[in-house]
Amino acid sequence: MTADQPRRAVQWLIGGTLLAFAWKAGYWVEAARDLARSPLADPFFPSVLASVVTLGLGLVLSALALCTALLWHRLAVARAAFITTTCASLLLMVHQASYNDASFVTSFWSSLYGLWLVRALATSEHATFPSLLATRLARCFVSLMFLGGAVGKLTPGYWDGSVLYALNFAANDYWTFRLLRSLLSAAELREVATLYSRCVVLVELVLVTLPLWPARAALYTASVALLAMVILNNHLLLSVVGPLLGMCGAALYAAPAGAVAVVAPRSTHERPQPDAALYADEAPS
Amino acid sequence: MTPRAPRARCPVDPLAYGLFALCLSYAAYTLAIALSPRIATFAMQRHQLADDHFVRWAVFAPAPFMYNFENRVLVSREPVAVSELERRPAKDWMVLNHYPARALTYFDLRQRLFARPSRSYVYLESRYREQRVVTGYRVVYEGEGGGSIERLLASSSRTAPTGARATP
Repeated sequence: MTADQPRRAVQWLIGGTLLAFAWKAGYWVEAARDLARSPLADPFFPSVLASVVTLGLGLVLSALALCTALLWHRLAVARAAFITTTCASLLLMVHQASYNDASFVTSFWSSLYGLWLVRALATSEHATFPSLLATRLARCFVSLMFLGGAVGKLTPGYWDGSVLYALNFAANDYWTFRLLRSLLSAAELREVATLYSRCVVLVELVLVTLPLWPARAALYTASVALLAMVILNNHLLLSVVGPLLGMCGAALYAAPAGAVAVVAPRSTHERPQPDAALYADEAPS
Repeated sequence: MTPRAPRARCPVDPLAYGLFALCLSYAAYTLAIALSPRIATFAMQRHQLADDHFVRWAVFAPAPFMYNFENRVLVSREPVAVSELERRPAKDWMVLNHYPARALTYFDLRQRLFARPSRSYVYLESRYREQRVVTGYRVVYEGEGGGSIERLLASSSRTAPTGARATP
């Protein structure tokens, strides 16, 4: 293990979380304009959670905080960024214009992970780099996301493929579905939709068990599955899977590769040695 | 042969344990959707913004929800009785992956459905195995002046098992 790996782990997590707020920037600009021009009065949402100002602040402040943390490699800056994104994600998960966007669910969980990670790196309580907790927590959070997807599909419409056929195979303009429509007859397309839908359900159910797998295998497999979702379904899904990829990447830096590295606890009178420093000039809290 | 390094024990970390507990709580809720028809109905009502308590609705927001349930939306210029909805042909419905209420609130769907000032009746239907939840809204869209949503009806019922759709 090198002294650079903790920093890389945090940077990877920051980058992944940033995707939730920045990948669909163009879309959110248009959505905010539409909301400002044509607000929708709805007794369900408190007015502050239907406001374009709240929407804009949540997105912009989060993106700025994460970009700052990417460029300024200080644990305190990373901590402030994750505090910002945790609060922003909480607001955006319940805002009228964004509650249905799963990007903010995944960014919420990755921000919580980030808060834990920076705290764990900053304290001197751990005799080891927090490899075990880092990988277990990441696997649990990612597994939770797959659990949500799997449970919601345990219904006849997904098992017979009718829902995904209507959503994707029949008319979705994404390259994979366009290609399939050009290559297959209507009957064949319907059969492929059924097979695809069942595979999705089964793969998600298998990935729910990630916490039981060996750490590196689990994190690599999850990363491949998440990337496959983006490549095969919709490139906009990167805003949803980005934070999860960030967690997997951060945890992979922490995952022990055959041996557990030891970082000696710092005493208050001892200056950290350069090869044991996690972040330069960071004093342990 | 180089001896393997001793297996390390997880350090005591209250924050990590708190996050594990939080994760487990939402996992329990998510699993309950599959195990309890009542929780499944509750979850579908959340997806249709048909919960009477905003705070309770918000508490479950961090639970993952992508591609949950069989959701579809019907837009009508006139009110439609719940019993009539079953008879509407499939082509009248728009299938959505999750949160069918986004037909009312999400930017691009809003633009498609409410392209000009109008009064519309929007019906959201979600199914999960034998459970079916329907919520109806009246939507007045005034274009540049914005619009308003009013919930007209909320109905949940138990349908026949796989393959048949009984009229509630």
